[in-house]
Amino acid sequence: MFKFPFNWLKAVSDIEVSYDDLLKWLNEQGFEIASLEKNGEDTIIEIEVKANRPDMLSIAGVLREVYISNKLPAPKVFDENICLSFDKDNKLSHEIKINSSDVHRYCGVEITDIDNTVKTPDYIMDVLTKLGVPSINPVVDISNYVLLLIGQPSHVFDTDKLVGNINISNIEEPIEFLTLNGSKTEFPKGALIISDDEKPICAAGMIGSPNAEITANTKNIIIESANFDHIIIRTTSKKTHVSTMASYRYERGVDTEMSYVGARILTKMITDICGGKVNTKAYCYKDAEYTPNVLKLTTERTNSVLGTNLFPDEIADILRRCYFDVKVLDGTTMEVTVPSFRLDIEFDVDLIEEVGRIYGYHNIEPQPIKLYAPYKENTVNKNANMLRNIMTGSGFFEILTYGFIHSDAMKILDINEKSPYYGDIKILNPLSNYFELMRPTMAYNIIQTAVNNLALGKTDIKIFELGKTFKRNPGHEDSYEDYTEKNMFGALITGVKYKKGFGVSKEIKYSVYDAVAAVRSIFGEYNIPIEIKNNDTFEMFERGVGAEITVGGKHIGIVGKISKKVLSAFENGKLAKDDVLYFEFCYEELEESKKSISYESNFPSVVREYNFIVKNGIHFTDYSKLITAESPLIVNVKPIDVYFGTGVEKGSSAVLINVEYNAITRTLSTDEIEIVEKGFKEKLLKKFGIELKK
Amino acid sequence: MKNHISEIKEDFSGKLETVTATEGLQIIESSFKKTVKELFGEMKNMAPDEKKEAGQLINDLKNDFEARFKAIKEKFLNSPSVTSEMDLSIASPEFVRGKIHPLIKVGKMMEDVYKEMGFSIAYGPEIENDKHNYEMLNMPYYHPARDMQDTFYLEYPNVLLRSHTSCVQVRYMLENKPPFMIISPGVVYRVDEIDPQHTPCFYQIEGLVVGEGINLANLKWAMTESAQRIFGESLKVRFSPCYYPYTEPSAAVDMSCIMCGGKGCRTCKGTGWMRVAGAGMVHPNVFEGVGYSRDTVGFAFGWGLNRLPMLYFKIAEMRKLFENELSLWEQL
Repeated sequence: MFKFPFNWLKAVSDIEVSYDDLLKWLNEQGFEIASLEKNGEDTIIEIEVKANRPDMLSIAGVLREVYISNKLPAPKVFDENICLSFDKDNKLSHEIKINSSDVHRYCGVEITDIDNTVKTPDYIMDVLTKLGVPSINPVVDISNYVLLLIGQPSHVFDTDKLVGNINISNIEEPIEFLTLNGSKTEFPKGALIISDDEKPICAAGMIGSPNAEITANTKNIIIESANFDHIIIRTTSKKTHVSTMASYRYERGVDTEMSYVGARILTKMITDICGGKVNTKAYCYKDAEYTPNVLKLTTERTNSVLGTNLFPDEIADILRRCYFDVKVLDGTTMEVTVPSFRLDIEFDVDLIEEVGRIYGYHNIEPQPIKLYAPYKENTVNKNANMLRNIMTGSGFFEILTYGFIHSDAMKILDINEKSPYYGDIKILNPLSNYFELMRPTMAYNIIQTAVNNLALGKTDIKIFELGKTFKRNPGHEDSYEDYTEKNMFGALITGVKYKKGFGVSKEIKYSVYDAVAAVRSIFGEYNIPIEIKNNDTFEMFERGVGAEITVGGKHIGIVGKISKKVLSAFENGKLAKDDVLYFEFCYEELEESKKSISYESNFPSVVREYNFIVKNGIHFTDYSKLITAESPLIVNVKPIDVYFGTGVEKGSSAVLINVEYNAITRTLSTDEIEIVEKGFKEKLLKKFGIELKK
Repeated sequence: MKNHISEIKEDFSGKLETVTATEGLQIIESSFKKTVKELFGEMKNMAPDEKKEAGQLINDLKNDFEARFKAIKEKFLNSPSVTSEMDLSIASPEFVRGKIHPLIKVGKMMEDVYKEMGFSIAYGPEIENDKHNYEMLNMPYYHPARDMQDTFYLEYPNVLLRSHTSCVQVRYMLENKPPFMIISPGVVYRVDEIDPQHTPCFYQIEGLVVGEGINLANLKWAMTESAQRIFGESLKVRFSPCYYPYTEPSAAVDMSCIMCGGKGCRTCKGTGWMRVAGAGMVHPNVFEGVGYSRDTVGFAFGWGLNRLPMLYFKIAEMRKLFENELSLWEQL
């Protein structure tokens, strides 16, 4: 972001600046107007400056865009023609010693006998006040003003406070010192710190220290106008949480050649305003000579990236308009010299973007894609969509929750470390403990959502969610590989299944059988044979009302009734008066197996009902298999109802079963059926102790 | 006989007064016909005088009621609502269907549009490492653009929750060679405190097309086409220069405001436009990082999949998407 008063821009421009045209241009060029704020006769414009365009973090940069928009040659360069000779061998009163590769330029100018008690001129005060930059004293104010004007940060030392040399180096041990923002900051090992022979005086490119602070009484100064490496400033700023106007610019990149300009402008302004005597033999360090970036660009590449039909001349004109130096080498190849302020231009594609930007993205005609790329089906996506169809068709609502859950979720769900649904992957910087644990099961959020809806007055709830669960991957305990993710499906049912009225004389609530039926129906749709067997190891279910879902003996999910203990651990969980039924399974590997529709017999079936007394723990899947195996005449065996209570011995239940008999070649006779019946009844009694209810 | 006939007359008159439907009238009519037949039967044993009188009475009764039946039938025909035994003025029992979450609903619309265009779907992990989420997307550890994508970290160094689904694209490129067209829908994470317009998780649909001849004009087509298929042909899509470290050239993508049609309103802050996506031509550094040549061409885009359902269903607050208030989803 960069804020500037519009009147300041007008004042520094040699041409007329239209407010509306400026706003339109900036918006179109990707420097969107973030805010406009009236300030008396002036308007403070705030533009969004992306990380690649630090050159736009100054009024000089904005002015350049004004000139580009008006197709004019580059505006005047802000500089001062004063007599300063820069040399690394020039010695100041305090010798500058650079011992770091993070310093690219370092200009030091010494001025003595200034008067810093004078008033900061109105034109500077006007800009600083409008931008909310506090006025300190003329020297500091000028330094801030120059930063906003040309984007070059600077620092000024009170030489009377310095002892010995000015040393710039990366510190070997962390140090803590008071900075000019009034707080003590610890700078980590490696930070670029400027010290004299006794004490730290500045965190380079970031913030100064009161140890060499400029005050109204300051008489003798050394101006620093330097260029520090963006990486060291960025990393130090991130680690210390110190961000200043200077660090914000250095971490994005500052034009190395502006160090000299900054030094000249500061020197001129300070001496104009505060007087003083300049040592014209200024110090200057540079780690390497500046060599402009020269890039080759072809018309073909430009048009092939943009989808345009631009001619070489058009491309060259656009680049020249943005102050690139362009030499057309042959018909289609250009040699482009990048100006020093355009730190973002590294490769030919950067130039192509520049061409696209000025040509106008809106002028590029959309073209349909002409590419053949083979289609690859995604099983997870296919399954998710299939499950959504099944569930919404069955009256379930889809919900979406966060992937992280409460840090106490395992305790709340009564899940212990040995459970396959246990999780302990935690976020180091959670928003709060409500969002700390990566969910190992879908249950927590689904139950919470159900309870929230109960609290909102809903009574009958059928919901499901598709999402990831996160677990550890044993054997990889020290890295990224320690985590595994699974695509899971979870669903919850509670409340009334059939409401009283409209022909229903008594309301019927959902029971665990409905959850089991839902699971069977889902896997039936996939035509995947599953087994659901009682299993009391899943702690969140009530004892005796929890089961495991397996496919070919492999655990795939769970189904059961959430225990009262678990429910009451949720806030508002006590609102759940009816059974809360839950099922969850991993869906990522489900594969639909093909079904066929058979209609072999044209003769009617016979369906007979049997009311068996079955001891608890004996599975329908097992004894129904035995019935089916009795005769090929049995084509279907299904449970109709289950009853326990009066008339049925404790530990057993009465199960009403329908058996369908059919023969392909004839209508069955009663005698034939009775023979079959007799056979499976005997076997049921012998193997499972199952008898008809008397 | 006379008394008997007047009794019959009274009885059937009473029945006709309460009849409300054609079906009921038919029952009364057939019962009446049976009664008349019985009456004529009774005449057999009568004296001739009596017979004549009785015959007259029965005929009068018959004619009287036949006229009445006809009148009532016509009345029923002209006022059909009364003839029905179904009263639509009262509420019917609920017929409950489930609903797909609004965010997913719009996401599926997008997926379907892109599938029709020939895109495949690719997924990837939500727990990512710094390399896939930032570094291979041209965002080294010191890159200031990381500030825009601050995310959550886990216990091991450089392990984090992905801040965009672009890392899925990186993984896809590492495992596949061009040409391909993929979209990667999914959850992403950012350190945003929950308020009406911010949630720490949100959804994106990112796209990546790599292959010979792919250009920015193709990107404009793919995004404009998909948005118009969902929001209607009158929708305008605007591209303006932008910056993402992983694309060059980069574009910010705006849609004409759904609420006001582009005239300017509160939702679009008076601009007529809404920022809905980011896009661009994939940066050569990204291609180089996955082992492709720097001359490879391709585009990438990323729709904010929270914003689109909010616009589609006119949901004012983003956090509502994750509150799962079922009574709201019932309106879908």
